[in-house]
Amino acid sequence: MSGEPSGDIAASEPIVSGRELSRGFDVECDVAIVGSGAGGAVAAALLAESGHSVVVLEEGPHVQPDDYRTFTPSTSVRRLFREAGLLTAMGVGQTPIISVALGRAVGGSSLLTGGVCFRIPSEVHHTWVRELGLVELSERALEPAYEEVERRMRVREVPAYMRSRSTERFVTGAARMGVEMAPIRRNTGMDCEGNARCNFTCPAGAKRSVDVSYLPSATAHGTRIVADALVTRVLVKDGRAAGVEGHLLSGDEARAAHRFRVRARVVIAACGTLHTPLLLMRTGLGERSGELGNHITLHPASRVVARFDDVLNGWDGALQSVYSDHYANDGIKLVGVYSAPNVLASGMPGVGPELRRRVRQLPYCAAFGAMIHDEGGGAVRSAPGREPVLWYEMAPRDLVRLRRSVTILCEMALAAGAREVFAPVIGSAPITTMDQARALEAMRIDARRIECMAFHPLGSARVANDPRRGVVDQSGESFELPGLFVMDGSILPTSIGVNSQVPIMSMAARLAWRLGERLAREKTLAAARARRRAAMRARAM
Amino acid sequence: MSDGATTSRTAGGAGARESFRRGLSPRAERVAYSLVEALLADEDEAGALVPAPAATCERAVVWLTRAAGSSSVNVRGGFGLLTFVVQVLPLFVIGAPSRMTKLSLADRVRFLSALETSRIGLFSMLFLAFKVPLAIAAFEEGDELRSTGYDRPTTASRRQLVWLSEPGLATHEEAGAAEGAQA
Repeated sequence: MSGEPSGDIAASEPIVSGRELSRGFDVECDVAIVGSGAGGAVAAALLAESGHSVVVLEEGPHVQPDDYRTFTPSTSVRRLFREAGLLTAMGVGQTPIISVALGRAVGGSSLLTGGVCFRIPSEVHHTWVRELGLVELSERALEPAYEEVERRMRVREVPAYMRSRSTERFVTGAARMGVEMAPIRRNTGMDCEGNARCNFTCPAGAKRSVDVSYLPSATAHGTRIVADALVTRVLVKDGRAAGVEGHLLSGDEARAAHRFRVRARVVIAACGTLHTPLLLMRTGLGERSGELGNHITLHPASRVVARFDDVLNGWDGALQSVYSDHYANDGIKLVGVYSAPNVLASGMPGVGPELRRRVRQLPYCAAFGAMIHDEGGGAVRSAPGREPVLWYEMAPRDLVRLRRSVTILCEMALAAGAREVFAPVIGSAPITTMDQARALEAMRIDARRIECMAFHPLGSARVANDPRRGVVDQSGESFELPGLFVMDGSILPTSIGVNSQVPIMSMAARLAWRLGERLAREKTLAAARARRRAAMRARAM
Repeated sequence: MSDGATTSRTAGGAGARESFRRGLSPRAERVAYSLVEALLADEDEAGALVPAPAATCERAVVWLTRAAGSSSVNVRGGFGLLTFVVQVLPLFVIGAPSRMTKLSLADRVRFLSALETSRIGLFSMLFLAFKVPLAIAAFEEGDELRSTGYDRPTTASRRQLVWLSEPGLATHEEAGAAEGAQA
């Protein structure tokens, strides 16, 4: 490490790559924000717009939209995904393999979503209010925030003509089973071209991720964003959060890392569900409730691929365009999905010539997915190096739901006329009949043979109205360290059963508005006190 | 493949050159190469088994070592361990008293198939840990991408919408109708 940090940020651009800085820095501002994803970007923009000075510190790199739009999927995975897309939840007991996809760049995971925008379901809000007493997180209280976020992100329903033939095939199968589908809303305005690879960035630039929907306003209002900046600790002074410190990631381990310090009136942790607890733990927090880092929900998701007789070219159309809550009472959400051809190829079963034959059939294949509203059996802990370890023990009820969802997807495909369906059970034979689909659900199998993905880890620093039950209060402020706020998915008190981008952004918007008002009041009071002191000094002289 | 810890190649997509760290040891890279050779083996016109092309294997292994190199010590250590395990498993999975890299191509295909269809979940996890990252990189370019039937030049190419090429079709609705008619 280099010596004590000092001086201003040695660059004039609003967004700076830390690896290009020749020295560290020591700056002062109203609000230091750790993380530039869905929570941090919204907080930065809203606080800067209300006149507060903001510095955002992002561990990941800064990649310009014009650059990442040209990335192939494997380049996106390597350069924009945390752990280069190789992050997996460590399963405990009968828990499937769950690959966890998270972003690590300016803009965070919002660069890598499918663009799907759901609000938190009403029944979840009701649970929060009635069972947990979180009256400030009611649906009504969040309504203005939802509207603001959806307006800036240009959230629209995906029109039927943007559906791929892959999706249409599953819609047909669902209709034959009496399952109704509804159009999904996404943050692509009317600009989606149907490139079907949103998870690896949008080549058309249609997706309104936070780096294009919020951060430009933040920087226009004076926010400084430093990429490649790893915050290691929250500074504490007089029992309050007083800033953060850390070091710049040079990309070269042999080079001494430049250190930085940002002194601030308040600190916002927005590093995401896996990393916010680490930052808080490193600051010595989490002892009081014992809840920090626990109760993580993942929304485990699976998908099936089905082969039909005719060419579908499922890559022509919106990646995600329909969903169904028909099985919501079983905790299952059906969601249309597709992927880039090489990613789909990697998931086809078989080895050698068998795999090759199946890959050649991809134009005839359709895909569809399902997501589980899980109980939450995850925990995050620090590990050697800078990344945490994520443990997840799937509840028996959720495993039943997951297996039920796979059977439902197989049945939908067969009802639509699929010749064979490849279930996400590694090494299982293709499903060709309804009886086989139902038998798969009842079959004794090792859960670790089930292939899952998770995109929405939530809930490791939960909001509560009692310090014994959570980490932050309803304004997002830490029970243990005043002046430290959390504004990311980690504060959600339960699983929400829907894609988490809009919920996180809306929560952050509400909390940032309140914080902005509080900071303004404090500034006014401080100014009044200063004026009184000056007047008293003048009278005394 | 180079044995150097750090090297420089042209980055995919953006076209910029960037330095990177190799996350796998030379030994682990050889194991990964041997795996992808079998994973993507094909049959020639006479029906004989042939290994995946060298360029494809190279592409997949370079991607994996770069990905591991940009990941944490946990991932790098994990892959190091997995490559050791996959080397010694043939004896226990197909009864072949040999390291995986010393097996014939046919035996490697048989070994990987046995891992995939095993009822033991840990074997499935091991299989998937290599298959997915290696295959994503392998099927991204060249003949492998063409074999998927993908009809755009690259995986970063934009869809050719009718309404973009025909000025008369100004709206998405018209484009949708035209696309539907084409289909």
